[in-house]
Amino acid sequence: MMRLLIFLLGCMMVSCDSKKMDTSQESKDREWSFWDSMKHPKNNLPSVAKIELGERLFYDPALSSDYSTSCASCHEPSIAFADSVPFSIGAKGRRAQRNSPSIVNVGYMPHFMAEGGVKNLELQVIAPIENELEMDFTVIEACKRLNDLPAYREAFRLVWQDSATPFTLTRSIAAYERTIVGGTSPYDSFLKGDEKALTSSAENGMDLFFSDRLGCVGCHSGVLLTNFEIENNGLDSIYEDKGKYRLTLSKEDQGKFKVPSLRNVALTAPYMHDGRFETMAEVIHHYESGGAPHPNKSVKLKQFELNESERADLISFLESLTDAEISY
Amino acid sequence: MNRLAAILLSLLIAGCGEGVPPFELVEQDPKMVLDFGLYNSNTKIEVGDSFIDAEGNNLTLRTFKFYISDVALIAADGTEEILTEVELVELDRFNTNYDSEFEFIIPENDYEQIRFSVGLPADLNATDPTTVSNTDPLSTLSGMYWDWGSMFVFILAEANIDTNDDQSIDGIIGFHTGEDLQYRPRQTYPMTFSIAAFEKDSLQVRIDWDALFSKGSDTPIDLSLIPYFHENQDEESVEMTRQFTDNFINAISVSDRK
Repeated sequence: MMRLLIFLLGCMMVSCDSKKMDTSQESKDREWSFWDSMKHPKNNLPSVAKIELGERLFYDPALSSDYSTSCASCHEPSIAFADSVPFSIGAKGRRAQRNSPSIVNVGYMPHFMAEGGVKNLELQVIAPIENELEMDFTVIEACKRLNDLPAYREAFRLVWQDSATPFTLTRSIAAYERTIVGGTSPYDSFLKGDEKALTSSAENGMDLFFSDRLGCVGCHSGVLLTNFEIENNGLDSIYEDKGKYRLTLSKEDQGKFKVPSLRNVALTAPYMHDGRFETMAEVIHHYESGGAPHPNKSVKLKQFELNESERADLISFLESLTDAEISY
Repeated sequence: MNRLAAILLSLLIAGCGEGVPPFELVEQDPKMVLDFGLYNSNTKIEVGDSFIDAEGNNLTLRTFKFYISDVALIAADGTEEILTEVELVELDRFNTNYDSEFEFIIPENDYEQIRFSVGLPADLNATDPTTVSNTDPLSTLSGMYWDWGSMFVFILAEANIDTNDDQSIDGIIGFHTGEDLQYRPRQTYPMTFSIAAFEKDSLQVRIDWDALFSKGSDTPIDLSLIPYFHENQDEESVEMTRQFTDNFINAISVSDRK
């Protein structure tokens, strides 16, 4: 019942002691309404059969040109639907351009891809299928392949009263992806009132995380610990991958990438859009440094210094964001 | 003359005696074919063709396709005849999905201009390609969908290049334009095109390769320079695609094939 506190922590964006947080019924209702408020497009309302079809497609390498790569190849359920390498290996052994993000809670995201240029989950499905470095296929060819298989023909007919088409394929997979939801971490338990859910180290780390001194919550706020913005987090002075610039062609967007959710972050190494950091300790070290100088660097980034104990505490807190169970 | 012949033919049929149903003459609107072609000097080139450009580069065209939208003929009296909202022009004789010739039925008139936009306006550029038929210009079949940004490439031109004539490919030159910066709305091209009922005639839209890159271009692009590939990955490439788009507009000329 106290999941609301996650929401409040982010929204307040202030340093606070979790034990003093607002527990009013109104706030609880707001929190619950968040988890219940996943929006489904009118033309893609969920059904059991549709979700099952989407799940089957998600794990099927037949959606790649050489039958080598499925969605799950780069979004492995055992590691919060992320990958464990900087760049996933796709069809024909090719290396993807960016690090695969976790897609747990993806149904709550307002935009997709590192630039944030894809506005709905259905359209996002096209991107890996048609990317020559990932699944190296076309949605239309994938549909032809599926329609040659009686089992898929029947499944699409049952769900859609239609064959596999770019529309039905993308909607089915998106419907499944919306079922991949967490919210079962020790941190969630703690916020629900289980004061023993967090270790004392993790509690200390939580205080640090939400402190003005570190300012993590400036970007990693809200229930999902992301503000959903596209930010420059000071990784480089010169970016090979220009990030959001590719989308807007605006200099002000160079080096800006989507702020990821920190839920399950302990499972999703390596980190950053190019997987440059292998451990959370390296990430923390980067933020302690204040980041590389760049005209677009977020003003929220500031130098700070932690002692070894504090670093360990912060990592403990981040580890407490790991879901005990991810439903899918 | 065509109209007269048709009338005489219909009268002849009408006079063929009993058993022949009466023939009702219906005046047929004229047809116009809009025929796009890419030319190196005076030679038409399509995908797969090899040629030497004015700078001496050995080139083999790999892909050449682009969107036109808001296409209309403008008559001498100022009236506009809308031809189509959007088409994908693909100069590839081996690709049967899309074409470089488009046929329209138009009213007889004396036309003085053709107008079209190169690229897509924002509303069309935001089309969900999964909601259109596979043969629609805005389907993913077009190969023009930038899935990472939910938008379309406007011009996609690629060629293999051999700059030193050693029979080996030095690289692939590529220009992929897109986004509002590269959209060129309502370009008008003068021509003289008169057409009457029963007639079928072609308007030739010619794109001059040399004007795209070198001779005849106000802003030449040296194809021997690297990097060859220009999309929107960095400022230099963006500037190059902008220049290419401007050259593209100026490389077009339109004439009546008669």
